[in-house]
Amino acid sequence: MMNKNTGWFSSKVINLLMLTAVTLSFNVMSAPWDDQPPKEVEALLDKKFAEGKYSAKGADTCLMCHRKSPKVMALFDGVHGNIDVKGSPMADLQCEACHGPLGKHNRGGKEPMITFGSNSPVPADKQNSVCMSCHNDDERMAWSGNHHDNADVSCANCHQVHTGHDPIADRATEVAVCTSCHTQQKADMNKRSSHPLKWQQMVCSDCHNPHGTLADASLKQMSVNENCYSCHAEKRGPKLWEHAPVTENCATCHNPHGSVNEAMLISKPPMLCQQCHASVGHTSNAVFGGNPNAFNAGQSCMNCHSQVHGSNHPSGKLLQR
Amino acid sequence: MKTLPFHINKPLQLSLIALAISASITPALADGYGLQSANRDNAKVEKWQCKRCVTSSGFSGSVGVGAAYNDASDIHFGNTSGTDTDGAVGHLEADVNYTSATGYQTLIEADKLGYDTGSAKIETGRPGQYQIALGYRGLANYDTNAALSPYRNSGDQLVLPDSWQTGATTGQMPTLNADVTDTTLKTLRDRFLLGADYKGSFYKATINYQHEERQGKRSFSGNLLTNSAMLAQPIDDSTDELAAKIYFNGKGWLIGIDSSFSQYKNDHQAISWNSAFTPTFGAAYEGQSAASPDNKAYRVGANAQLSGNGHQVLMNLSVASFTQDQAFLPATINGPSPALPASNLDGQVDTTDMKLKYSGRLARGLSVRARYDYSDRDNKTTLNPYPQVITDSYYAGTAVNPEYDRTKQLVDVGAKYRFTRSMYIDGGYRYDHNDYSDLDRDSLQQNTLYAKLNYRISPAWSAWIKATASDRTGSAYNAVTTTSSPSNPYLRKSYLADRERQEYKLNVAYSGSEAFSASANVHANFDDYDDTQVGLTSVDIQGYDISASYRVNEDFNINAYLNQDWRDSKQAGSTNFGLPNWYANTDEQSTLVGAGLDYQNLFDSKLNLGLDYSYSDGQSDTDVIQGLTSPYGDYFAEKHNINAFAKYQLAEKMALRFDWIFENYKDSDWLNQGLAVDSIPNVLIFGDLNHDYNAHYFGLTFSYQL
Repeated sequence: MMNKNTGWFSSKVINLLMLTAVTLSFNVMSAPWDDQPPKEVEALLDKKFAEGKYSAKGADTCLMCHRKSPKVMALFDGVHGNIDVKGSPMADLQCEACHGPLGKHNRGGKEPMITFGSNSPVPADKQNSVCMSCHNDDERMAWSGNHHDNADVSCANCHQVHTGHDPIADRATEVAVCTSCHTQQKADMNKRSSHPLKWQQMVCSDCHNPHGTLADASLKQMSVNENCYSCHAEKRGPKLWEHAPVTENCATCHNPHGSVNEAMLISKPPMLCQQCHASVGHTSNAVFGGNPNAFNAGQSCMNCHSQVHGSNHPSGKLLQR
Repeated sequence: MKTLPFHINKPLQLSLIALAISASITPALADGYGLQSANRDNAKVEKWQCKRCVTSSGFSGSVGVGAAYNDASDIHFGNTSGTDTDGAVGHLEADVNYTSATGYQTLIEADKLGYDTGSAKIETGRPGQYQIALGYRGLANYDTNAALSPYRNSGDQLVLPDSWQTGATTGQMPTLNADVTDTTLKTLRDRFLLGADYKGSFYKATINYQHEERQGKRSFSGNLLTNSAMLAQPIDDSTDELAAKIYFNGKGWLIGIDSSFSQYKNDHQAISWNSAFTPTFGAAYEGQSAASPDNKAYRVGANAQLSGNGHQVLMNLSVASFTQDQAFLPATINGPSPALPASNLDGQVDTTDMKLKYSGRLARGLSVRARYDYSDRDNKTTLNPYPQVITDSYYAGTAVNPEYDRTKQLVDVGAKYRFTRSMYIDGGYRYDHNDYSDLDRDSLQQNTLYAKLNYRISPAWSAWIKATASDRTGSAYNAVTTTSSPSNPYLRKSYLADRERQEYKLNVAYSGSEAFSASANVHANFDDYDDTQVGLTSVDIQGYDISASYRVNEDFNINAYLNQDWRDSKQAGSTNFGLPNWYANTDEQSTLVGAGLDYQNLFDSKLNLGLDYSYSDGQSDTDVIQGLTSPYGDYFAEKHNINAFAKYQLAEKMALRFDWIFENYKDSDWLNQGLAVDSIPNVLIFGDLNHDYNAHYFGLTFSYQL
């Protein structure tokens, strides 16, 4: 297998997107309680959950009917279906840990169970309460109120449980899943310069925690710059002569998702530099195109001021050393 | 007041605090189907046998070996194919899972192992209890293999040929064209990972170590007075990072400590070069710049989450220290260096971060959130006067290093109200306050209002619209006086300037059938630097995208997408230290179009096919206007990509896969478009760095299913 972004890969992505958005909803859509108003289904599920009428035989009761479904049986390929895994739902209330107490569902299958995915009658926050009751750990402690939580994204929108191989956890498919909603970032990562997301050398979760963090944009580190320093430690310093905006926010000059400009710059030098530098002398001049010179060709301003990220040279105040 | 009895253990205390917090903020609604809330009175779990449950043990997955032909006549194609090897290249693939009858699990993964961008991982342990992982990941960035330079790398030095004859200008360097050779600019990273975690009954401990080595060359410029030469700066450095954390949890609380240590080491302390130019006006024969200094970073932080009854409070306090004490280079290598005030910087920047976040559900359909962040940067580096020998050539007095201390605070309050199951509104207000030292402004404040309306029009159609408005202003703008020449009084540096920003986003999505889904987005962003006369005055960004996927049948999928965006920026300058008398307009435009198909189970379920095509085109047009308009040359990048594969099942457990990647790539940059190494009299450049190629990758992979 060569590049994961080939058709094989897109098929995985399509499968993931359609499985989560369609196949899951297919299960839901084909459910006998589809005709009932979602509000009533939710109320009934609340009641069932409070009553706690669990089955007599656990998963064995459920599998009497559902064992014919490959999707259901695929649960046993992963940790969620492994009775030997400590903390697994199968080691606790089994199928009913996530799908709620059986109640009268086995009498004709018409009584609703808790279902997951975008077309489930169960609101996203209630779906997520099931997952978060086990997964509230250091990686997900800022889930509540984060961007995805606010946008009604359910865990099942991105994750699959009935599998041994959750596609979103696969680096090969992650970027495509994220960019199916984050379309501006998809456009950016295809531009002239970008972090190497298109071919999955990097993935979104290298910088962001989709489950939320205490930093802006769900960044994994405390600040934008610390996020950048985690791979670009050479720019961390502290250096003797620092470039003020560089120490504050790399995104002042760079768009980390990509840009039509080289080096992911938000604008091209010399114009970029002249947005802050207009003093007596050469920085105040209009730099015209056409005849190549030290200002409009080569590395532009960086022909001389090559240390724009700061310098540790004693004579480096002008970032020339 | 009576204190809590000392024999109450810590977890119980935290649970009590969590309970107290949740009880004190009433009313509250705890909704959901969490396991902790399950009514287990009638669950006879001890009788459940799980006879129909399936447990599998042994090996599963596949291993593969492949060989490929890669066309790397222009190494830029390596960014797509993952290798710059020109010709034959081999690789290993693996996705193996071994589960023992007793519950141990081992995963072995390898992807493109053998390429610069290959990766591999071995993970073993008992899921849910402990795991140990060992990993490798390669990253590569290929810039060009056609940068023309007469310089050769030798350690920290860039040296000219022995026979080199200097010239006053690049055109007067007699052997220049004979001495230039192709230089490759690329960066390769090899990252090694070792990690372990252990999960106890009420705690989880994780430790991770990462070692990364970086090698390659990048563009740099060596400057002596008014002359400069582009140089291929060597990259040979490493970063080690050790991170450990431990978290404890109980009913309604989670508390933990995160810590990390990172150390950067550079094999190069300096980059020095011979001047290719004949020294004029006392300029030097040699120059030397500092390379990135070795440095260390330490961080330790505590997090606590307390929740209950639909409320949650999250707290963080962390401190970090960034240090650097590499010995200084001399102020000049052209003659004796003036004495330095210290032998090294002994640099130290300390940061303190404090974050407090609340989220809760106040009534059915109404949830609120609030957040306060405090972040302080304290530069503790000693301030000293350093002699400034400009470009190793002339002494220009001394200068004191700036501190650039700052304190950032933000408050964000928001609420989400659900009118009906199909409609909600989410909105909030955010206030940012930044205090600075050594900058043109002592403080900046920004007020932001945002709102989003989400409406599920029908089971098939949904839409949302989002609007954000922010206003940034600050204390009096007083240009810093520490610069060597004063700033224009009408200049407002773009990152400190007053700014009014509006952002709008609209999304419409259709998912009405199992087979077909589609979505469309429109976005616009308007930045108006309303108090700026010299500097950046406005940035307008607009764009849209549409995408659709269609499942023709169970085996056949197609998808397509189109994205376009525009970014127009305007700025003004002044040549007479007064009001603007020239203007620059930069208009950027970008298009991305793609389509893909995937056909599975052809020929008796033996053949799978896939094809993806994408086209991207980005350009930037710059006009500088000072009475006359002076447009710049071409600036664009255009790429066609085809990715196709065919996988044929040779036998039950054996498959052969053929991959084809084609790329047609063309770009141009007016910084070097059509230029030769001697096109600029006082700058020795790398020549024309534009790319224009058609490249193919053909790969054959044999895989065996375990």
